[in-house]
Amino acid sequence: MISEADTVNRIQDLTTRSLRLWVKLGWVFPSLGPHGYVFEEIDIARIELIRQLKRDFAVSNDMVPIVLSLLDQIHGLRHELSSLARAVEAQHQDIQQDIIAMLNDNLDCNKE
Amino acid sequence: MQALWPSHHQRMQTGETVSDNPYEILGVKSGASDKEIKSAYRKLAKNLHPDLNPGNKEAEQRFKAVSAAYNLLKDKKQRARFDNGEIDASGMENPQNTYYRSHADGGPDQQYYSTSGFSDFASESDLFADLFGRRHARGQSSTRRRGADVQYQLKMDFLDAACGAKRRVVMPDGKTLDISVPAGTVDGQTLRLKGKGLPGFEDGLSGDAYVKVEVGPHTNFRSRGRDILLALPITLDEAVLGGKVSVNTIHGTVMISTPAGASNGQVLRLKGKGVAAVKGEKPGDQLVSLQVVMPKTIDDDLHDFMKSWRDKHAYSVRKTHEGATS
Repeated sequence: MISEADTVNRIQDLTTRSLRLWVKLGWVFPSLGPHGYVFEEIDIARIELIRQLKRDFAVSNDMVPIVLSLLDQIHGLRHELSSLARAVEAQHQDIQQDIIAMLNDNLDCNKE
Repeated sequence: MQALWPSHHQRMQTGETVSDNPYEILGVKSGASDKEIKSAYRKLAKNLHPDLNPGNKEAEQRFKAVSAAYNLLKDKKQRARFDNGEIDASGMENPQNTYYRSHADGGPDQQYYSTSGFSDFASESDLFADLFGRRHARGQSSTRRRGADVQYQLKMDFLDAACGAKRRVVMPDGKTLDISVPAGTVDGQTLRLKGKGLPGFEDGLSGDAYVKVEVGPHTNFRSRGRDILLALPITLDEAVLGGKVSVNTIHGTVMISTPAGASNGQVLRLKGKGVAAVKGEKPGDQLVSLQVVMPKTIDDDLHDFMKSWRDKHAYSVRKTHEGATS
């Protein structure tokens, strides 16, 4: 758990004002502790990303939530996909082979 | 992916040579203006930023090279020193060492997890609904904020921790929290009580409570994993003749037979008398180490008996020590 002040200190060029704005806009979801917002490492990494998007890549305020939402969806999909792959991996070899064959068939169909 | 790269970076992709010239890395001429350098960097970084390429390890390596090159060239002094051949681009990366992507792949446990990409899957077939639908409900909210985690310390005595116990504690907000400490909890162990931290915002999940257990020492018992260790004093006659003695365990007193001819330090194993079985773990044992204690005074009877016994039955116990003592 990292306080708001520590968060602002840890990230170059970040002001308390913009951090609060980003929270208000729903780009970052800190927890609410007894003395105000508290952040976790994942929040810090997300804030750092937002700052880079805005400063280095000139992404506009309208675009930031779109980028974040697409990224979060990709991470969600990647997680589900890896869970599914692990579930396949836990199956008997014959079932695994069937699934691989089916996936390859699907890829071939899509090419045509 | 290939098409995203300026043609002069093809070499880097094949791995033949990786340029360490920052101008080449950014794809600009050595006389490029600050503006050209910045725009070249932005163009590359947009395609290479590790967070915009989740799961692509190459992107991270190239992004590091590009950001090191940019950090060097954007600084007029550094750039002049490089142009004079005084320094190279090594060590110029951004100090950032964790990317969002390395936190965001934690799955449904993190607050930004989104499965909105599956909402149509659930209606496609029953199987898909089973596979993805159940998690969809959890990941739906986009504005939930998880409550903060809280930490507590709980002091317990040895027997309660070894046998497991329930504790009711009062939290700072006045609510009570029932903690069941599992059997075999050791000093310094932390229990996680899911959802017992501070409440979340709106529909957000509550945080967790982490309870660090401090277990005080016991005068007689020690624990080793799920086994309990105890030193048990026995008399000389019990050591020689064997006997029935009562011994304390963490579950109460039991009677045990000590073998005739017991030596000091001999260990008896009382099966199942250690920490009770919990899910997935066998019960521990109690290990009783015998400690032969001499009578307070050696009276004439014992003295005379021992003397006459020695004359006929002397035995050697230090064969392995002979080399060291002679």
